[in-house]
Amino acid sequence: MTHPADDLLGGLSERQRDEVVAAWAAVEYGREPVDEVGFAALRDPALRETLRAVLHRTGRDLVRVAGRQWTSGFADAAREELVARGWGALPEYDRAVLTTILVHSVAIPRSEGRLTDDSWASAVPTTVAELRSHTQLARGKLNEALQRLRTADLVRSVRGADSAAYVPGPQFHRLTRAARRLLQEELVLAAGPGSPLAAAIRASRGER
Amino acid sequence: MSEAFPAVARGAAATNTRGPAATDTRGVAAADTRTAPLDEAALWAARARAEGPLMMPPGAAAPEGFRRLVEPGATGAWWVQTGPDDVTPAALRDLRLGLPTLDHRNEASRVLAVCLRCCWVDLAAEPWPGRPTTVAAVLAVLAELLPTRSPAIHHRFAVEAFRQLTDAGWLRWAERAGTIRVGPRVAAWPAAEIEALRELCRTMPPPPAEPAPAGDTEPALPGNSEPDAAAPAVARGVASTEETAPDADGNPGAAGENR
Repeated sequence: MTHPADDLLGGLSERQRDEVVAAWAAVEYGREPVDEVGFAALRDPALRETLRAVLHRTGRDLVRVAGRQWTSGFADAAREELVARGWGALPEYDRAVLTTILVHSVAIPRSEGRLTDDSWASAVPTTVAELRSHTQLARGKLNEALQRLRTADLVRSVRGADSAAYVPGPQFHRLTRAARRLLQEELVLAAGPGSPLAAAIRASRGER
Repeated sequence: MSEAFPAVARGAAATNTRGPAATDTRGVAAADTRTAPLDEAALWAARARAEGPLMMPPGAAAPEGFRRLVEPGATGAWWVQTGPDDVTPAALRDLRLGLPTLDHRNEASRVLAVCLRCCWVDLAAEPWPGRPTTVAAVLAVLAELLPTRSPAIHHRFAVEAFRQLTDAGWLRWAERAGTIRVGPRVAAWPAAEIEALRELCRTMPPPPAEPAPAGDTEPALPGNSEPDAAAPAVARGVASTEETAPDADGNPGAAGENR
């Protein structure tokens, strides 16, 4: 089996190659970001750049989550191309459900100063009752969409007081810095189109 | 609020529609990344990462990093992504990392095993493409494995698993026709795992005898007797859960009859 990165791996010693492939499997297949402590190819800056180059060959990039945690995500160029071609998009109502959860669990708490960092990890769950009141989806459709989003790790269910509740899932760690900023801007434009912040975003985009 | 969804969705990194947002993002993303130009192999790899195995015209050559599987009848070919050095998600176990989650993982594993048992009738061959089976046959084998569980519960778990496993590329479920086939990702299993699955299939009860769908050769399954009790039980189970799965009805009474 040939792989687009075979030439990059071919220049490594056998041990280095094993290290890079192990780290590749950890960031590409793992559900959650991994700590560099267990992976030489994440700790060592030279091997890390090789790993990044290997990921680039398949349209992926290495993403630092926090301190010493790493995962992978779509490289910005690949993401733009997928968006432009409409490839890999979720069904529309899954997007609607996911957006509602992002607004409730991230955008609103952030605007109230309850979430300060730039991550999408959130401690503010969106309950199914809230989802029902904000989306015009039949109950069965909503449950199916939530199941798909859960399976894709786009949302994570947390034990709510009396009904199921959701926060953004570990997939959000996979956003590159540019993708995170873009998503944040889109949320501001959606949740507060009249706000000064939205005006600033529109101005900065118009100026380009 | 709801009219804002499409706008947000277009900008969301993992989710999008065709539209002006694609041009909006270009300047934003280009500002702070070191992106190499995207070549053809990288683009197809990114698409497969987002969509799972890709169904392509049968004559098209796959780029590096894909295994190409021609559908029986050469109607198309699957491109299934492979990792460097053929590393698979099974490596997560050796790396002591969490495996992907599924709702009711054990149920899904059991349903996948039973589907494999019903589709992979020639154990000397590779599991893919196998032969098509029916929802009724899968439910009959599940009922033999767990005879104390009610048919309605079997049906509910099976339908949930069919959906999840189909979304992930492990199965192909034609909901209206009530037929199941193994999905293209099955072809990516390493040889050692296929050997273990062969042994597993040998220990599982066989599906009820039914005429193979047209175009397939009748498998020679020794001792393939019809578990008579299964068909009516399955039929009852499907009928009683029709409100949850209005069109997942696999012509339940037909196990063992001519279609």
